[in-house]
Amino acid sequence: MSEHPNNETFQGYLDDELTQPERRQVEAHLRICPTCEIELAQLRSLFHSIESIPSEMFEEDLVPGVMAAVQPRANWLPSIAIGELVAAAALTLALVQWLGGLELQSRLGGAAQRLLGQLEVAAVGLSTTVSDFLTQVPESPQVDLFQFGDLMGTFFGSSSLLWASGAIAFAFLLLGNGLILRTGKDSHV
Amino acid sequence: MVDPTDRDLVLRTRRGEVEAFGEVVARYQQSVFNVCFRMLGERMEAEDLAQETFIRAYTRLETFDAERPFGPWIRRVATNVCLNHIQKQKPESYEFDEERDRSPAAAREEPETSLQSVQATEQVHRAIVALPGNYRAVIELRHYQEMSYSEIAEVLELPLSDIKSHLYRARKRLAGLLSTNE
Repeated sequence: MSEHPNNETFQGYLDDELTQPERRQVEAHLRICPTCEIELAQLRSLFHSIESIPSEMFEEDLVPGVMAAVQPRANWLPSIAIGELVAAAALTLALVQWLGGLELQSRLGGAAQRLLGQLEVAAVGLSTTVSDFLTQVPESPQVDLFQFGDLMGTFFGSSSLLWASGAIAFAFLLLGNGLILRTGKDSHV
Repeated sequence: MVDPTDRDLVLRTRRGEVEAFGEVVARYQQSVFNVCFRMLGERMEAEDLAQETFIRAYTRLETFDAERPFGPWIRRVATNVCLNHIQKQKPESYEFDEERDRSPAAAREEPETSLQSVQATEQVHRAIVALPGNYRAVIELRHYQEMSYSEIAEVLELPLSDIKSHLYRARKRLAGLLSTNE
């Protein structure tokens, strides 16, 4: 090799990434070229510097934190919050329906009726919001099990709302407490 | 009593014995932390990323070939976790920053290079941490994890030509950064 090898070739040489013929060419050139020998020595020195960083002593213990995160139930922490939230919404609906069933609306007057009406609207809105949110959660099993907003829409105003709301509240409480779903993968990895 | 091998611990973890993974963490937390600290240069951040590395490794344990050594695998995971973290922090692309690669004078203007009072090894470390994420990753994988170019390409899911280019530029920039601090 009469031409000077470039820096990239020298890096490949030190990284042991050249073919045998390429390697022999570089070595032959180095024997006759002090300039390249110096360049290679500088590069070798840089490699040595890079590898000179000492290990940092690590005195913490990662085990408790990691174990808390990888326990099966830990994967469902978001579901606990979601499950309880949905259960609360369903219970609110059940309560409103129950009050309606007792014909309290007619006794409480116009202001109370309007309040109950607003409560119903808010409860349905909440359930729809939660349902929309669930559709955005990857691997969320609740979405597959319950199209909650649609369910509420179907049952709202019907005589079966009380029972449906109670059943849904119970189901989500079970989900939230991990009694139904115990396996699954953490969605963020 | 003979300590269980890494392979045993991994297989037990896969069978649902989560506690076995705790032993894996205890064995490798130092070396995983070292990877994170070298790439990030900050202890607390490195500790957080080391923990995230083990959590990610746990969820991907089925992809690990239990017949191969566990250490290199978990260190590769750590490198990728750190690289993702760096890239999230600094979304701007360094890939087209060729002017800086060519110009040592430009490197001198970087604020990270005011290192007059620190030790030589700290200077090197700070110079590495001042590099773009991809450059840090190739330096880590080549110089500390002693991988070949093709292995690095596989880990980072980049073409071989990119690995050569990243290494070349990273070292050139490091040489520039370090020469300005001498």
